[in-house]
Amino acid sequence: MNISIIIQILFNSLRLGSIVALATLGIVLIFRTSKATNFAQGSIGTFNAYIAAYFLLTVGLSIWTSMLIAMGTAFLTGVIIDKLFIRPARKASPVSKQILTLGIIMILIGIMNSTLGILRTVFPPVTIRPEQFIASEHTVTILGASIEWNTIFIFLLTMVLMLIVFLFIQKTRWGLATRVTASNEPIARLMGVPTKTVTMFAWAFAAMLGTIAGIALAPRVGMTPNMLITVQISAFFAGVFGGFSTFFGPVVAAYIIGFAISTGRYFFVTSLDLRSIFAELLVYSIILVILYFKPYGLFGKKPQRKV
Amino acid sequence: MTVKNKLSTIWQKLRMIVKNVATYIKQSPQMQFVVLGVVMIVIGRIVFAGPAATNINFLAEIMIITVVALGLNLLLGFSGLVSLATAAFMGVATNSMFVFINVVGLPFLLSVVLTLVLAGFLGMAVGVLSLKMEGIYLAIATLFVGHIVTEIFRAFAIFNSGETQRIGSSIDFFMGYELTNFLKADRIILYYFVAIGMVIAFIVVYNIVKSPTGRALMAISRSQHAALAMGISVIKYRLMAFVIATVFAAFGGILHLIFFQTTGSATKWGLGLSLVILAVVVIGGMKSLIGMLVGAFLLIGVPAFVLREVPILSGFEDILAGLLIVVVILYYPYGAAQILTDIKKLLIRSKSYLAKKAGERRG
Repeated sequence: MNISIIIQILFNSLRLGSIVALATLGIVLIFRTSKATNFAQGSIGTFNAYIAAYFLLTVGLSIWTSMLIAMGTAFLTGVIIDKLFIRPARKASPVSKQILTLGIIMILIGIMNSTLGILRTVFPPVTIRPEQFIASEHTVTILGASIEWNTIFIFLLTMVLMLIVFLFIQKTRWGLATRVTASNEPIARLMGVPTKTVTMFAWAFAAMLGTIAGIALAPRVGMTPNMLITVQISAFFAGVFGGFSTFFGPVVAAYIIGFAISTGRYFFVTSLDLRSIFAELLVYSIILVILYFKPYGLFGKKPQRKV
Repeated sequence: MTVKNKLSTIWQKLRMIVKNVATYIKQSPQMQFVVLGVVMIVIGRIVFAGPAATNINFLAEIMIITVVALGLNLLLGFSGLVSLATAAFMGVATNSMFVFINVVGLPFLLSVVLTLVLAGFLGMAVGVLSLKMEGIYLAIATLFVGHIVTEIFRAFAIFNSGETQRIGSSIDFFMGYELTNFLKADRIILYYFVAIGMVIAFIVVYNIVKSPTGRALMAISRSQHAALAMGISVIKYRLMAFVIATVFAAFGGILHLIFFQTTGSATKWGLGLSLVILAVVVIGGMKSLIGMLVGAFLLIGVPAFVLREVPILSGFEDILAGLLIVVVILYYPYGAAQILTDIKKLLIRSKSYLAKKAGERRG
């Protein structure tokens, strides 16, 4: 085992972790502001990633323009979902909201699987493979390991986005409003915080984060309506492992899980001669045991409940 | 005595009998569930004899999901705990039945008992986890358990690496009948078994709900601390709720194995089906038993029977089913069982409105 393999594993896990981190931050944002467990995060991301792929492959725009357009549609998707579905159900129980997001999943999957006219060209029934941000022949050699620039770019993009989100939440007036809404929505409303706008932007922003995750993942696994399902499940695990009560915990946990799975895969396949699925099994089982002893995550606090 | 008189006395006797039976059924809810089962069997027979005979699969699936939802309802509606591993436990049941019957070579009924016991222990394990966490944390922890279970199916060759597999031939189902001897044409007999299983599930859940256990669960769902103060052991009943829910999920899995004779793929037992079952409970109405059948029909039956058959709507089934979920949750937050009371109210209102109109005309 030489240094180049370690570097290779490290960067692989950074790419996987970044995609999961993007998805999980969106889920945490929505959970904190509108108390809904958003199972539709993956479907919303895939939906808009398809739109990006349409403009990239069929219309023939560059990846950056198509991504910008997809960001716009993602913003709109988030706003529409909040306006039509989530806000009218403000008084519904958290479980009802989970089911509401299942309804959203079914609607989006239905649109993506539709075979009618324009929908068929935007959401083709075959697996498509859009280009990467930076083509795979551009590589850089770090300590003997050849790393794609694309991997580094995804990691840097994620870091910049995270930095923007954290600075926004910690330093700006709207960030304060977000934090207040997250901590106690009814009181925040009484104090004059426009919680409706905050929730709406949380949904819009989460949709955009999910879309970036989708665009980053699509070239590797191929575009299908269920592309982001596994990422989304990992994102939920990261959220619980890091603690839903903080914004940074889930992101850190996403990278930890990504690193553990990448390392585990390498060792299981090369040293133990087993299939890589056993690595995931082992990592998830260990996390489950850790969760038993730290039920509210590595960085989370136990929510206070009054009798 | 004329023929007319004779006829009228017979008619009156018949009416008395019907009335007595009706009051008996009204007074004993267990009988209502039996009637429900008979109705489902009759519907099944009609569908099976008709042109769309394959729809019997959907009917069986509705009843299987109803059984599983009844268990989850006890957990969610009566004790306020969420589980997203329900489908995975169904998969555990089908796969363990397969292993017990085909690999170990046990008789059918013994494997059923062993599978239910195994499911009980699994439920206990998840219940222990639930003692530590609540809300979304518990939901995701159960999702974790479900994911690990389906990964196990994918990882080992004994489960055919997560692919579906047919249960082996010449299995003694009961009293010499062989399970695989039921051909597609005899599916209706297997359908009876599923219907009987559903009736049993309904009666068992009804009895649990009306027992001290049910009342204790209800108290915990309202306020854990108040229940604790009343001397209810929260730990015991939480574990019990999880064990019951898991055993019901396993029972549903066994019914699935009996009807479809396959174990189902690991993908089928994933998060999607768990969410659908959760949706059945929420849409059917928590704490309502008949609501589970209504919810299962709305979520599985309506897309399969109603939407697919209407030519303009075909191709939109998923979208409309999703919209249906959204609409029910937005307008019927206490479940679809509420729709029935709303219709009753509407009828009464329209009756009084008509009476008022008639009165005005007379006046």
